[in-house]
Amino acid sequence: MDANELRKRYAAGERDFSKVNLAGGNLSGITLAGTNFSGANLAGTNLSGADLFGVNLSEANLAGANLTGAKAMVALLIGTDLMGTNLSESDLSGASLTEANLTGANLSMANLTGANLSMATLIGANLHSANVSGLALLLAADLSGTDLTKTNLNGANLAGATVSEANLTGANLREANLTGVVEPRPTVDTQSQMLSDNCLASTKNLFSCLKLQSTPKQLLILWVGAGAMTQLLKENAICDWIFCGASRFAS
Amino acid sequence: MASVVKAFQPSGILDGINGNQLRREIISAVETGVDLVLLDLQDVTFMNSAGIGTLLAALRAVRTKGSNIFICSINEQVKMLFNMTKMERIFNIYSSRDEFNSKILSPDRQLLENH
Repeated sequence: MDANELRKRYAAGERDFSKVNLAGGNLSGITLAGTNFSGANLAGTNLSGADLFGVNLSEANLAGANLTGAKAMVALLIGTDLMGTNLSESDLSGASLTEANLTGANLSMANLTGANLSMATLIGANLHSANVSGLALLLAADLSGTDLTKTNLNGANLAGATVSEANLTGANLREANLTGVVEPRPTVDTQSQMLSDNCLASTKNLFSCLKLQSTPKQLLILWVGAGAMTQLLKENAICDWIFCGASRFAS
Repeated sequence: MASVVKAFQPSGILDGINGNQLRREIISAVETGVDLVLLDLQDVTFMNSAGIGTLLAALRAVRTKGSNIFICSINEQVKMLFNMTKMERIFNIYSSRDEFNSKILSPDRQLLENH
């Protein structure tokens, strides 16, 4: 199938395009709202500026595709391969990206308000100036080496997420719930001293970002080695530390 | 070779702190040769999003070692939390220990011990 045939079939009312192969095609600016593309092969496809409102792209292959400026509000991208995909300036508000592979993806200036990125892999992804606020969920997301420069994480929930080597310069973490955020290799208790030092360094980095913002209203807890936590509490005059506050989802 | 299943049965509130402790115990069990982990949540009265976050972090770590986590006996509040976070599809959830035993355990798959 090519772009013209797809446009014709959409105009005729067809909505189920699961498992189609349109890899490398040019679908720039196309309207595909409400369609089912689950399991489709769209690797390297140009979908820039496309209307993908509510589209089901679960388990689809969108590796290397161009979705710049795409309108994919409340789309389903569960387990979708988005490796190296360009999603800059796209609107993914309310979208489900659970278990999606966003390794090396470009999400700069993307709107991820209220999106669910739980268990997603964002290794080395670019979230520069992205909006991941609202009730965005990033439970156990892998943010290793993710660029979070100027990312708005206001109100996001990152419990259990991995943030090692992430760049948080200028990130807005107001009211973000970072409970249980996993720091580098925290499982080896026998190396707790070394671990504490590692944690301390990266946690201090995080706090230097936080201090640029007004005092966080909600509570932030980082899972750090015991030594690092004690040290931080000694060194920081940050108020509003509440241990284990129930999240907005559970309370 | 027979595979080893180890059960964990935390109780009370499962939050970020208890969850992290559990996460470390699960990972260390898998590192010492446990193939499958059963998380019996019948005594967990309340779980918050931090708790679920740590369980998911454990699942991620366990999967990279070719192992898996099964869950059984979750209460309504926990069920709701799993549903709201869309995480119910990620874990294999059984209604009771009996259902898990009948579907998963076999002569080749023995339960190591209760934790």
